[in-house]
Amino acid sequence: MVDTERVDINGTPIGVACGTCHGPSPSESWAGREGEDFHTGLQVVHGDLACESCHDAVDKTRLHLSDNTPVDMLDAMTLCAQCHGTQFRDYRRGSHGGMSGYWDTTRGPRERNHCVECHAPHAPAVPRVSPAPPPIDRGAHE
Amino acid sequence: MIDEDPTRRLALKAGGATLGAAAFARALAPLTEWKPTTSVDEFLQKHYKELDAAEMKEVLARLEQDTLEETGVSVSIADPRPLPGVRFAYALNLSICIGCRRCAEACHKENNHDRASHNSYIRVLEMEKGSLDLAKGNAHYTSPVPRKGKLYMPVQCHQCDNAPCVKVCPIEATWKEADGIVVVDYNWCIGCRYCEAACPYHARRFNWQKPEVPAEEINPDQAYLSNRLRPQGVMEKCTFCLHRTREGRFPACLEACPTGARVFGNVLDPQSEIRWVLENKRVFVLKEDVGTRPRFFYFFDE
Repeated sequence: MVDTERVDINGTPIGVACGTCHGPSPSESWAGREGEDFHTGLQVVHGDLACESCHDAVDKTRLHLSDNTPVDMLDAMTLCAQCHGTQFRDYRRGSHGGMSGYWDTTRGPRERNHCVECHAPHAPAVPRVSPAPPPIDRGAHE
Repeated sequence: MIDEDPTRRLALKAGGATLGAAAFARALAPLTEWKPTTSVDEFLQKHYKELDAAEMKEVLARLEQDTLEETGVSVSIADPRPLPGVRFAYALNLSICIGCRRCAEACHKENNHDRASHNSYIRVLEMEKGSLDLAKGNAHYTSPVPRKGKLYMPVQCHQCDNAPCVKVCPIEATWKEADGIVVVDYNWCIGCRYCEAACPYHARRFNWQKPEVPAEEINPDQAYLSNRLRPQGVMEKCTFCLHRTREGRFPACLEACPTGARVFGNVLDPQSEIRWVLENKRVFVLKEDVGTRPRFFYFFDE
């Protein structure tokens, strides 16, 4: 999410999802505006990483692994997994990351979240959320 | 002396009879008042386990018709049976649970819970990190989560293999099914609440009132033993969403979890995610010392 420095009618900041410009493949990338200009407001709070740790030095719509092997946007998970191995292992084993569908995959499909659906790549810490309303029951601990 | 005033005696007799009849009618009032909501068929209905396929079909049709008349909503009430070769288990990763209560909310809607009490089979306890002190757990927090230094622990029915709630039921209205799920026959339950008292996890709920759900919010995908609209005065509990899970789908609480803290599946399948968690994570059960042998596990990431 990139901040546009504009707010909607409720005062909520309007962001532009990365995918709006950066499609799943480089050929779909939107090059109608200078990248650095647009990304001015982008906050990077992701360890000590530099832009080039993940992005290609010239074409920022391309990603690469730490050994400079190019990696497709769709395979960005491989890139995340270089540092977050235990999370990647747990993801593959079904104990990290939301999912829906069928526990019995012989009966129906299953949908998995991608890392970036919860963790914005440039600021992966998950922000606080408001909890759903509490129960109004007898005997629950106050 | 004896027959001195036959009119008075007659009057007294008549008066007594009238009073007696009035008292009798008053004593029967609960029965007569109760009749409109309980049909003869419902009153005479056999225990779930004694119903044959044809009888069950009739019962389900009657319940669907009753729901239609009461709420105006056309629902489908099925009776999915345990799948052969399937034993369910559930595990929850406390390291990544953020306490957002999306699971409890999903349960609330999926299982047609009473809207006024905002009932749910899941209670999320907010505790000091490192304490696991359930007695000091707060289920009513409202500030944004996760709060610093807090641990969040969702608690629901643990579908115990040695379930105290099943043992204390005086009429076998609750029992354990072959796939590990503990169920209640709402039409057999007498509402004595022994099971609620026996459960060490505070997982059972009592319907003090007839649950009220607005017609447009009723989940029409229902099952006899799970989320159909419950009558007043009976116990209810988490059924691992058997109307979904016995069709191979995930329970509603798992699908609602944004972090993937919940792992559900068939422990008899060596390739299942739940098996991997049980074999590779340091899982524990709640109140192991009370010997309930839960099918619900907790774990922390290493």
